[in-house]
Amino acid sequence: MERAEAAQAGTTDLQLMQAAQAGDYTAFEELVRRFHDRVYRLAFGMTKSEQDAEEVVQDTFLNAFRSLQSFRHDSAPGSWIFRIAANGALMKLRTKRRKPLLSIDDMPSATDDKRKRAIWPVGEWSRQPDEKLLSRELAGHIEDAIERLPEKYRLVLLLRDVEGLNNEQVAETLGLTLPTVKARLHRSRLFIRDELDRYFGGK
Amino acid sequence: MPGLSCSEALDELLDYVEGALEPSLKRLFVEHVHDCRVCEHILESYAKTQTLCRRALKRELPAGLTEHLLAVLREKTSVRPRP
Repeated sequence: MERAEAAQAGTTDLQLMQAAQAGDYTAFEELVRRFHDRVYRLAFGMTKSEQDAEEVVQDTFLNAFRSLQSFRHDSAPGSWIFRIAANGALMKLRTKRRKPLLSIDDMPSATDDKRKRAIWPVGEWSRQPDEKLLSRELAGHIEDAIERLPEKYRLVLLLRDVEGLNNEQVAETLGLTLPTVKARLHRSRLFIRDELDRYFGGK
Repeated sequence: MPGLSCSEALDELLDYVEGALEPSLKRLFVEHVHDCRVCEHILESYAKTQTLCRRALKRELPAGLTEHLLAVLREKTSVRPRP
């Protein structure tokens, strides 16, 4: 085999983390290989810059290596790595001039009657298959909409809907309560949904 | 038990999509959506938002950067590459 680590294919993330904590650098590198794409996607989703995202990936794993001994086995290694990445992405954003974001007050709530009035007459786009809907233009529109979300909402949406963590894992990763995760996720999805309606309504 | 208003139904969207509604509330939700074309559309499009976001943001670390990343990490953590 090319890589000795290939023998670790059946090894769990937690076993790799324990081995890395015991000084096995190949185990640490296997964790890097397992998570670098996901950390990059989260970092790019937050920063919208390839260079910034690459720097966040590097910093994330460097910080993870330096603080391996602080990992406690009551959380998942993935949540721990995502937490470091989320903090790194937020730090990166603080150093940048950014586009104006939605204020929390502008975020939609389900009880917003104006949304219902604006929706009528309803479109049929939601019944089309994803493959038919998802043009490069639409993907760009979705990226732009996500970029306008307040950062703490954006993180929840990216971890839940793009990375596929469950609500409990997102709560653990970001140090939030479950109701807070669900509230932020719900309002973020409603906002993206409204933007999609606007996009298809204007086509 | 009275039916749900539109606002009450939309408050339950997330739990419905995630299969977390308790049975009696789920029945009221389904009844409302069945009778309300606007809420039906909101439900369908809300559920679709998740998959569209995932597909729109699908990307990986650019080709060749994995080995570069590993090399930089080895250098910064002072680990010698294995022969």
